Amino acid sequence: MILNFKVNNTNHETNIDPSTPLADVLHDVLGYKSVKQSCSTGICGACTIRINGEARKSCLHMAGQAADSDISTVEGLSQNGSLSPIQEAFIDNFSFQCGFCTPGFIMSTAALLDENSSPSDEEIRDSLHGNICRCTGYLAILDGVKDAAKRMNKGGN
Amino acid sequence: MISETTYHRPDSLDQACNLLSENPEAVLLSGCQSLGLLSKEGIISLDTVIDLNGVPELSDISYKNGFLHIGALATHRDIETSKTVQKHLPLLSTAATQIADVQIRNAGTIGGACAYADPTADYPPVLMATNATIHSQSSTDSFEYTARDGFFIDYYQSAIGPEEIITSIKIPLPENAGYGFEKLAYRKNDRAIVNVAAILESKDGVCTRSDISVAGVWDTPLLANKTMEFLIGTELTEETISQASDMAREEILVCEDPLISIEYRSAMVGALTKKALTIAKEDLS
Repeated sequence: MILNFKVNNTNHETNIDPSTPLADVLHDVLGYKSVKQSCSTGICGACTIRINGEARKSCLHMAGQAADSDISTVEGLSQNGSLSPIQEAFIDNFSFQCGFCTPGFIMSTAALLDENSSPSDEEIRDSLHGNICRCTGYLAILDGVKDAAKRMNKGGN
Repeated sequence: MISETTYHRPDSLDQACNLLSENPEAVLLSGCQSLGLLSKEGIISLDTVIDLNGVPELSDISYKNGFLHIGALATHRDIETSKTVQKHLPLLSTAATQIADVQIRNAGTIGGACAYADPTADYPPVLMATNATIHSQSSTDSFEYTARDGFFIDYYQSAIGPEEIITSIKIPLPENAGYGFEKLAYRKNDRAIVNVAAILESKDGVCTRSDISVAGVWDTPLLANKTMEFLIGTELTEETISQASDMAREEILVCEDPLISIEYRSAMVGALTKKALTIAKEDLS
């Protein structure tokens, strides 16, 4: 079936089985390598992307379900070669080690901060509950998110 | 993959019902959060899929004449954040917040959760306690099921027929009720080991309505009938709530589980009922 995927404002028309997990389409077919899969069962959150602005687990969506929606991945965050404030804050706060889970955490953070520019610690924890990191112990990630919120409120993009 | 999935995306309910009538083996797709797991595990095959996400009239949440109407495609996140639900039935929005995580709540739907009839899910005890009805449609008929009476028929089995599509959930709203929802899970927002929904109404401190449902412990969610009856006409005190919790612990059937003893689970039924009733009582004032 020919389906159209709009990823980071770029349209991709591709012939694919509509029941293929969206994560496979994004990573294997369309080349968005930030979309990682670890558990493939909706637990780890490494495959988190945004669909129409909402954080979603792409391993638990069928390709057909996401066709023609507005999909965004980490690849779409930097602008004119500059990293986004969330990416900068994650780097400056050592909010990752191996980096495997990071794109998922960043997309969850982006969805949170678009909705709530000054989240409380509890709101951050709730929003990141669906993302698992096995390296950092989470505190550095919380710091990164709080720092990202500050940077964005100061008028970063 | 043997052959490609035949994928339909109807844009009206009638069209969806007709497609299902022509393809009764088809799988209905709403949020894909449980369905995705079932297909990955090879439990169901996706030869034909009818994606309901293009049907516009199924995601409304509204309050009318004492009833809360929730479209089957309303997501858990919609329910959690809906001002209408928060105002009229905070019990349901609280239950929604206990489901998995934000990403899953953004996708999973109440209609899908009802059809799936997961005995450890968070809506079933609320739908039981509130005496909700579940509405469905086929190409020729519409159907109404009562949550407490016949909708949840067995382990992961609802009464919805193979040619029916759940359209909405309708919940009669108490006027001045107090609500309590308690859940025990291995981790926050994991599947329930035990969850309890309680609704109380009272006049001059005496209980005039009591509805208690316990889930996660049996193949279907259960009503604590004897306990509910006991509380009506009783003064709501720490002591009577304690007695009621002991009663619930006695009457609620508890399944064997390789990881959790019956004794522990039963004890937790009592403890969570006590907590839910206490919170519901406080919520009254």
